[in-house]
Amino acid sequence: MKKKKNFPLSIVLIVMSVLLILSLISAITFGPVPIKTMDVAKVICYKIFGIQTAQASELLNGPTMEIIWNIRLPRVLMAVVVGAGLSLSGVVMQAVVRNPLANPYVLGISSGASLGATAGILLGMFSWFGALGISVGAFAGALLTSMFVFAIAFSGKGRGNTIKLLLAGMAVNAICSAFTNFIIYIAKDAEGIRSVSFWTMGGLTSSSWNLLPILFVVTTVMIVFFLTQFRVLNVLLVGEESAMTLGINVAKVRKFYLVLTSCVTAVVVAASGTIGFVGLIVPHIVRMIVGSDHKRVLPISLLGGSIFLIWCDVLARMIMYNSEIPIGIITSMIGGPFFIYLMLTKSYGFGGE
Amino acid sequence: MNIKTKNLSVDIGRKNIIHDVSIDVEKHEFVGIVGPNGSGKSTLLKSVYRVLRPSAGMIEIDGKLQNEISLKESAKKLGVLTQSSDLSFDFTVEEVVMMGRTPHKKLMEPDSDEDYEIARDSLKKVGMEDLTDREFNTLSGGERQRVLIARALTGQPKALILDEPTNHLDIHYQISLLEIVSSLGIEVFSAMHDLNLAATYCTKIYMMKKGQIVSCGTPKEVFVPEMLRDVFGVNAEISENRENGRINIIYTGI
Repeated sequence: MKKKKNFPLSIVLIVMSVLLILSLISAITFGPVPIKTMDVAKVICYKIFGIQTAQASELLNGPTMEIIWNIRLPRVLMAVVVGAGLSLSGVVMQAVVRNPLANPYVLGISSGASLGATAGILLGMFSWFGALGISVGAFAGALLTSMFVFAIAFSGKGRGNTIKLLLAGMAVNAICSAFTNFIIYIAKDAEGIRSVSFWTMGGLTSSSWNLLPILFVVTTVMIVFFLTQFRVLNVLLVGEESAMTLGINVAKVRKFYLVLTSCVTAVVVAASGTIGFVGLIVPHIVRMIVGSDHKRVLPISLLGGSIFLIWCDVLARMIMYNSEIPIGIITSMIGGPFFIYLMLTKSYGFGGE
Repeated sequence: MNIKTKNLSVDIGRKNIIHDVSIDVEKHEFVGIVGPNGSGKSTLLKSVYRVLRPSAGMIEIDGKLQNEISLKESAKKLGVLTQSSDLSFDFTVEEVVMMGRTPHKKLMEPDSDEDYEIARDSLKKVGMEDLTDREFNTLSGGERQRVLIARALTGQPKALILDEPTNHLDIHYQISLLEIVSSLGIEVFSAMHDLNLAATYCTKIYMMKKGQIVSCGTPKEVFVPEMLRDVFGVNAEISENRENGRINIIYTGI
């Protein structure tokens, strides 16, 4: 067995990082007001490095600058962070519950967040938090449901196991959805119901510099942590007993990872709504192409998820004239067929036999 | 490296599975545990490789109390082949075998050429070196078993714990596997299903019944017709090979 020199991980990562930066810049040029690529580059150079190129002063004081810096850039950066965050939780969740069907929302986080957001939008709860009220509601809902699910799965009689965890997630999911639907059903507020539905399908419309820092810090810390955990993640996939014989304390690691991924997911969902499908398919698409080793799966999924979400958001903004559609619709519309195509053409078995 | 248990008891839920079990594996012995289904063989092994926690008694690994060394430390010393081996994601044979290096690795430490060398040697020992790039899930039961043995060897353990290692293997690989593990020069502690193979390869046998050790000694001392009758419920004759002194069990009915 020769060392796997045929997979040049560092080159793939460099190429993908360059793609990510190019995507980021060109995504800014799309929108109701077309913007030149060079202008984007100039504004970013000026704002970040303080470099002012010749004849740029007009640009730097005009409305284009405003659109680039305060509207589109935070939005595209949000897509980067949300895409990476969802992919991260998807990869980790699938390893932790050892189930290829797992996704970041499998523990009921999305329905908890939706309930929180719905209560915020339709019942006016969390209004002390002003404009951030809905996000706060969603975050609280997400964290409470995941804690509730852990409590159910790891207490009670018998040993906690992952099937119990998934079923507890489903039960809590059903309960929260029921309450959400109940609130929607009794509400007489058509505009509010529309915002709820927009929220549950996910969107990056609320992006601003206010939300980005917290999102960025939480996601980055988690990414750095989990990048160091690739061996443990691999071993988790071979099952509890084998993992223990390889020196990994599965029960402890599993709980710890679940709490961390729930935090990332809760923060991401609070900022962007429940964007579906990304956390499920990005890890699988990456595994189809590079195999299951987390040393490769994790970083490639993060970059892939970011690039995917940037372009889905561009489509969400551009597909309909003068109006924007929820990004969750796009991620599923594009991701679904692409996923099916790969299923049909690759030999990847999704962990089946 | 020696493995010892003293007055070991293990309960699962409220049910007592093994009771007052004391065993001793040392000096390059190949120690076999035999016993009927449900007699507690796997439970004993699992408590040694730390999947189950004893309710009483103690376990000593390499002269240290098991609960005083870290899981990682004992994983370095013990190579384990468990009974269940399902993988829920696609890994190649190479990736599975390389996981055997896990307990030796620090947080971000990359796999070195030496690690790959060790993995390749282990795969060679079990005759699987040509299938390194195959998906583990596409292998036959016997091939998987050999890959998992290679993974256990890749950890370069000081002792091996095997739970019915010859499961799924055809007779050639049953014998080849037992030859390999007995030639390693390390202690082997194994649950054995086939009493004749146990008689051929084990230097010491513990016979279990209903969670307790009922007999212990060389195969010749343990495999006597009365014990086989009492523990397994079979009638058997024992014949002895005059050249090498090994015994052979011939079953005559139940």
